[in-house]
Amino acid sequence: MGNKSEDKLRKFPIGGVHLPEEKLLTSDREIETMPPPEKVVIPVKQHIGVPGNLIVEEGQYVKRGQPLTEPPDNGFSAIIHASISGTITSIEERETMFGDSQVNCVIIKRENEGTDDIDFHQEIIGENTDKSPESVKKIVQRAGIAGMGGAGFPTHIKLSPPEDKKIDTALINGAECEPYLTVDDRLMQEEAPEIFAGLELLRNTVSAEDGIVACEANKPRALEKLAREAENWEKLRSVPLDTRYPHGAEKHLIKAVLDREVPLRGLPMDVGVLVNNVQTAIAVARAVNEGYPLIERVITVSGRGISNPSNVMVPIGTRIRDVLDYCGGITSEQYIPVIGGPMTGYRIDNLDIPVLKTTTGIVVLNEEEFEESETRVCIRCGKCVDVCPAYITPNRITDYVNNKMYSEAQAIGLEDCIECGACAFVCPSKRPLLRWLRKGKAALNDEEVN
Amino acid sequence: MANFELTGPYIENEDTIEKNMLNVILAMMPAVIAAYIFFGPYALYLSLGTALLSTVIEFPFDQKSYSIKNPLGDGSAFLAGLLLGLTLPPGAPWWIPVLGAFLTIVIGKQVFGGIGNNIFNPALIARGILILSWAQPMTTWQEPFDGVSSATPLAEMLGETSAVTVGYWELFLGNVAGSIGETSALALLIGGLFLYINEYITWRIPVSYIVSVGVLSYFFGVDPLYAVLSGGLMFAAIFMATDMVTSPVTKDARLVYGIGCGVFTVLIRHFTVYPEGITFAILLMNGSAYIFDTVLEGPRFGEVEKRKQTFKRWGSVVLASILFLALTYGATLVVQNLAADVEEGFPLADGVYTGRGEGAYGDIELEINISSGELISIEVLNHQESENIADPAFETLINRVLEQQRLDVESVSGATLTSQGFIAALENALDTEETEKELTTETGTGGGMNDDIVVEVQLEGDEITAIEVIEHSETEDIAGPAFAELIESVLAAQSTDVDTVSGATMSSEGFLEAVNDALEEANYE
Repeated sequence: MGNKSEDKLRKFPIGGVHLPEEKLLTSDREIETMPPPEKVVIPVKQHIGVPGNLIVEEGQYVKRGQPLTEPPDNGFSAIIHASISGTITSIEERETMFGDSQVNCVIIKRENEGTDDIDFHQEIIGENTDKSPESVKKIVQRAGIAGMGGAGFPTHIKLSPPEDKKIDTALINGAECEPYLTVDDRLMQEEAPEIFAGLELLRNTVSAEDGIVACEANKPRALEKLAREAENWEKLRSVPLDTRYPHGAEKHLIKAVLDREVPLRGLPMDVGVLVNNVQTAIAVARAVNEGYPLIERVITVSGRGISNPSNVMVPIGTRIRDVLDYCGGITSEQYIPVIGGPMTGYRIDNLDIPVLKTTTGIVVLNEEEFEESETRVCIRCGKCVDVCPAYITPNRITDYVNNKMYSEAQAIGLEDCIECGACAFVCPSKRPLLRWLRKGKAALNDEEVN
Repeated sequence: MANFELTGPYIENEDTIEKNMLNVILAMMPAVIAAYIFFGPYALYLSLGTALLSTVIEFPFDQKSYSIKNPLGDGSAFLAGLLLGLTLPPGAPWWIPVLGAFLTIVIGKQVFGGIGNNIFNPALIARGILILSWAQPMTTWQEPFDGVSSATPLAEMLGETSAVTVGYWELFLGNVAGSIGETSALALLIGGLFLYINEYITWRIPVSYIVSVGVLSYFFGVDPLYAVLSGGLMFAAIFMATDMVTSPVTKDARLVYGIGCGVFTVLIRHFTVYPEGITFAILLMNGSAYIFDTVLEGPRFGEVEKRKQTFKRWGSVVLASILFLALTYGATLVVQNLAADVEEGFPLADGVYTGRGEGAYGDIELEINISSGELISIEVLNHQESENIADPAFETLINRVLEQQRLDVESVSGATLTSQGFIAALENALDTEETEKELTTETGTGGGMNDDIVVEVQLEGDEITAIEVIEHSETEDIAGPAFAELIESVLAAQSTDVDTVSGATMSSEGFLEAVNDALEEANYE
């Protein structure tokens, strides 16, 4: 097969920034499995699309892996499963993530150690044992898999592109460019065969010729494992990326790896590419091979505000509070708990919100790590423009936003912002550009709705 | 709406306004040191003094930036003052830094709203006002080390008479007359490199500025390297034009801005009374920076089609510029030729003229026909040259002269002497009028002290060309020098209304009377 690993580091051509990595806190910590918590909170909607229809009631006993919803008619949804076995104590509206108002949640109280499983094979795989594209899509839908890198796009929809979109490359996004996060790094080190098995299934399902796992060069051990594993697969290979933020943004990943540019407001399939997260690929492999539904995921718990930074496998729906307690609790007086990485993540006040299918990590920043300096006047240095990977002008757009001139901001690319935060990171005047950009986007949405 | 005040990023890099300003100030230190080496300690007052004065003047406007930790405030006032100080001439009077600092901070910066809000580079605003108002102290230059007044190399280059006296190497090191911080290209390049490596500037503005000045100067017939190294260009391109607040932020806009600075710098150098164009060129472009940012914003990520179009558009812009430059260059050549024609032209009245010139074997005689200042035909009347050589040579020469309408045409090889004779004959024919000017000689008589004085006056057209005393009976010792003096003054004045020679009044009056008499004969007005 020749040399499958490449030495040349790929990168997207313009913009981006080198961030402090802070990955050493957890990059050596093997993934550990957290025991089932007393209680889980499972929102019916954790993904892009519409919620499924509930098929359980309060007071009902559910087994681990039992579906709690069924797909709605249009199918643009990912169903949810009980992640522990126990009794449904209530079904109620709760806060689950940033920006969403209250979401209907199924709350399960643990019984029987929480591991009274249903028959996974029968429930999820059933008669679809042939691994044909149709079977794989059915299994993926039944397993409730949605993108686990953060966006949460239902995977079975991604696997069914319209007839006229020919997919030639299936790409696994192992860039993990956010500081602190090491989930994908650890998974690539520990589960490389599963990742490639998942990629092969994805590649086959969309009839792509190529399958690629891309990983940033700051994870040398993961890259080494990937390169070795790639030897075992005829059509799959691994590609190293330069260490630069935001390589994990899928359109920039495609640009870096394949030098193809997804058209403005287009999707990866417009340039013949299917992109999935590392953990999504593993979830697909486990669903198709073992019938395992998406009921748990690995998250990084890091930051200097937590006593025992770790990579932990937790049941979906575990409250942040329980995860933090498992990791030894918060050590500092002043701390900022952030869901996701410190660049694109969001700060939470309520530690009772649950871990979702899309939660990549919890970073508890202590007062030294958390920086928010006074906002000063723009000196027009243009650094935000230089680093912007969307090639827009954050300084000008936010000027418009702050003056409530939303349509003017829209005209010069407000909606094309990918919300990576590179602009705010480099700003010498410490202007919260991403915050303003998000505000502008939301205001624009409101304007359009009204 | 969600509470966006809580969203990230939650980490920031180490960069601050202070750091930006401090690094640019550091980058100018080589220039400050060079200024000290070449122009002595007073240069330190001009540069660092202006900077400190600016810092002091800004204090009341921006008190909260100043602290024990940041005694220079955010550093922007110091930077602006240093920018101005380094562009001052070495002999600038002591009050120029004081006034300059005031103009920089108050007029250039604070009236616009302080840091970040000024449209124009504050240092250049101050410099512009100083140049316009105190032109003499702002444009008096000295040689390095000895302080002798001197023209700058740029002025020498642009001036037509004085020769360029400085070599590239001296220009590069900065051992020349000029503004204290602008002369040493080496020191400036060190600073520029420091800024580039630390990503405080991009290459776009300095490179496009310098290259466009070089290219355009070439079209103006100036040595491009000299044009780039002399004057304040390097300083301007590296430090002035790249000023963050007043320069564009998008890539294409930075290029166009740099080119614009270059174009206006060269135009001002060549077409105005100001020897150096950077101040007003950059101020002009400062005013356009924001427009460039809006108009020249490139395609966004994903605008693949637009990028192709943009590529085409830029391609055509580049092609058009090349075409424009070529046409301009061609036009300049044509204009030069026309100018040459006018100089050498044929300011003769319409008509037929003949002329003679010496060929290889004897005189060549020819006849030319002039109509509306243009030579329309030449005919060889007589010659003693060998026919088989001369006839084709004449034909060639006639064609060349009629076509180019000038006399300094190439000789026909193998018939050089014949060619020279032909041209000499042409010149002779064209000189005809001079020689054919009416030459008249008249005599006149006037009463002297003893007897009549008879003079002969020679006139060429209306011009009195010579006066000779033919007869007189005056005392030779007195009258001789008096006549000589009078002849000289009459010829100079072209009039007899001149002073008489004291001590020889009678002789003088008689002489002038005689000349008047002769002029009357000649109907001289």
